[in-house]
Amino acid sequence: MKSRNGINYSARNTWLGLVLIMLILTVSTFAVLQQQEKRLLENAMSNANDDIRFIKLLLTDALQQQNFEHLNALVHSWGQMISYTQELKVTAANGFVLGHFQRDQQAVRPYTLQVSIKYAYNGLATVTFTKDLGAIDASINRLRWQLFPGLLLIGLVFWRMSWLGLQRKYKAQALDQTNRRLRETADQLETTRAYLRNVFDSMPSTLIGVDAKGKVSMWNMGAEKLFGLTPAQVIGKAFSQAIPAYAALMPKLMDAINTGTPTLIERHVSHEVGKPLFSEIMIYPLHAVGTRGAVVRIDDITQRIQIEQMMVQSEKMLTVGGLAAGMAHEINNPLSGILQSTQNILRRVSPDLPENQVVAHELGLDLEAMKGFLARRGVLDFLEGIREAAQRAGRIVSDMLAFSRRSTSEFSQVSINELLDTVVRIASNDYDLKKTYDFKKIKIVKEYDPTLPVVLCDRVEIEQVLLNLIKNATYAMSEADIGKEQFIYLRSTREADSIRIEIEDTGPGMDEKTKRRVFEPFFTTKPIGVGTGLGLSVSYYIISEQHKGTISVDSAPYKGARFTIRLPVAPTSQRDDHTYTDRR
Amino acid sequence: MTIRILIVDDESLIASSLKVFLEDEGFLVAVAGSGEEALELIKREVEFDVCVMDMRLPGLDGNATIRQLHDMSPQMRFIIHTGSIDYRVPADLQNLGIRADHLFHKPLIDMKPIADAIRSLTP
Repeated sequence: MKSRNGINYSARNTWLGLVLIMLILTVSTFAVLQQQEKRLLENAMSNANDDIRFIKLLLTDALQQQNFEHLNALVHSWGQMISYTQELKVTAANGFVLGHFQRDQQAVRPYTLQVSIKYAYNGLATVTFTKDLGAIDASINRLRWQLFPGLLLIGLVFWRMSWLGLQRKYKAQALDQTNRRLRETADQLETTRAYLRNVFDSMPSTLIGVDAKGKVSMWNMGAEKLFGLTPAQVIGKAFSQAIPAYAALMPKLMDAINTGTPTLIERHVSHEVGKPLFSEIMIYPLHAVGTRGAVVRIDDITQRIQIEQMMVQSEKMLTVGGLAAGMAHEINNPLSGILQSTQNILRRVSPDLPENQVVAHELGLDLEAMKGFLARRGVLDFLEGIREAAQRAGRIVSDMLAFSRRSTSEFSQVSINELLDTVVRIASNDYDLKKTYDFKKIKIVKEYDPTLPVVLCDRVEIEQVLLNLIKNATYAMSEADIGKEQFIYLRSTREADSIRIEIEDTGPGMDEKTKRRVFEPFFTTKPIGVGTGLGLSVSYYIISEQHKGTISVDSAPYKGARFTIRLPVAPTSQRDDHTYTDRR
Repeated sequence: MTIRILIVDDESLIASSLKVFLEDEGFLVAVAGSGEEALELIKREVEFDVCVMDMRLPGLDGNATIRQLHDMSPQMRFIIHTGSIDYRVPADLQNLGIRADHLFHKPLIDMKPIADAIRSLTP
């Protein structure tokens, strides 16, 4: 609106401009004409003076010869000859007209000159010369009428030019304004876009926009990170082609777009390497007029699921722990009775104890024969069996107790490299290990980080964990004795906020199912009576609950097994407060 | 002179089997089924060199019994034989000379170490 007003103003201004231009031109033309007229007059008068001087010369000559009869004819011819001569009259002193020429027409602007001529015998004549300067008027008039249309033309041209110029100026201004407004709008748009982009990218979720045909139209930073693909690589591609791991979602995606119903997939499982194991997927169809499509949000919930699984695991362990604490005393007492009694029986049937000999002699009993009898009838084996069974029961109870033994842990600065050495020493002297397998056959390869910092931990418990892992490795390799040399690799590495301990064996490894259950309480692959199924679950408990670290296993059949422990260099809390959110 | 031992334990099979073992080892052994019973024996001026004490007892617990026994019979030495896994020797009892190697956790697969500890406590 404003611009139009501006243009109206400018039109009125140009009209005023035209009037002004015309006025100035008229005034100046008038002045020019005036000047011209004056100049022409002066010119004509000077010409007339020259003429009359010439006439005077000729007349003086004629009058000297006293040739009066021809004088009139001469005056007539001069009058004819000299342009614009109105009248040429030669009068003698006595008033006698010697010659007279007069044009028939009335002079428009008469200009009269008079000269006196002296001739012989004191003769005197007067010459009156009148010239008509009306031609100047005509010439000026002609000029005037020639000038005005020209002026008008010039004025109009000026006006037109100025009007066009103004118009161009205003148009340019209006254009400028429009351009500026456009630029501002574009800037605002760009800002909005950048803002949206920022919002879009700042979302911790993976957000993927798709159009009505299911082609990727938007790809945020989260998606870039998760899939390792830049927007340029995926935009315009079909969703299922852009991320083949999620191709199965396509029907649901199209369904959501077509029906306009948001769709939630609570637990999407993908086994592709580098993709989240578990993800939650939300499909939001777009409602806005003119745009059809959807936004797909993918959240990696692997950690949450794992925490949930760990919680379940920990709950199990705590239950076991609580149970164990209550039961331990009750079970240990009868076990004590059994074990102590069995030891007494074994001692009292042995010929080695002097008191036995005394009593046997009193009763006339041959102790050697009795020992032989007991051995042949398997009694001694049964007794040994009772002893071993009770011993195993005791071990189960003490393992279970580890879950409830929390308040008593003592943290101190421990060098993990030294601890690993200690554990190797203990393992090589372990009676159980020696009995089942020759530890010396295993080559221990130590790959320690010499700059490893000390770690605040419970030395006894970490020792138990490491010993357990080494024993397991030894056991696994003895079971699958393939004749070639076996290795246990012990590694320690410094990481950002933690240290990493790896215990890797070259044993038979384990399948996926076993791997998944390996930390579960009472899960064991060993024959009944050999393992309690608590070793690794206790280790898990010690590392994750008491030390806020992590323990994980990496293994495949025939590929050995590698257990990785991470212990924080400075644990935030030594005590278990049952909150899982602040674990990282 | 034969070393005299008092076993305080409410679990009769544990007490009796330990008694038998220690007797076979050549000690003179008496058994009390509770802290009160043990104090009663001392009051009747029966003397012991070493006491093998259970902790969880009906009535007076092991720690309290040790304190009273020590007051009545200061020369007596103590060995603790307990089923409580998280038992720690209280500071005042540590001052009586009870150390970590005098602490035994049930169940004992082998009772020989108790016999060795007893011998180490007696001149």
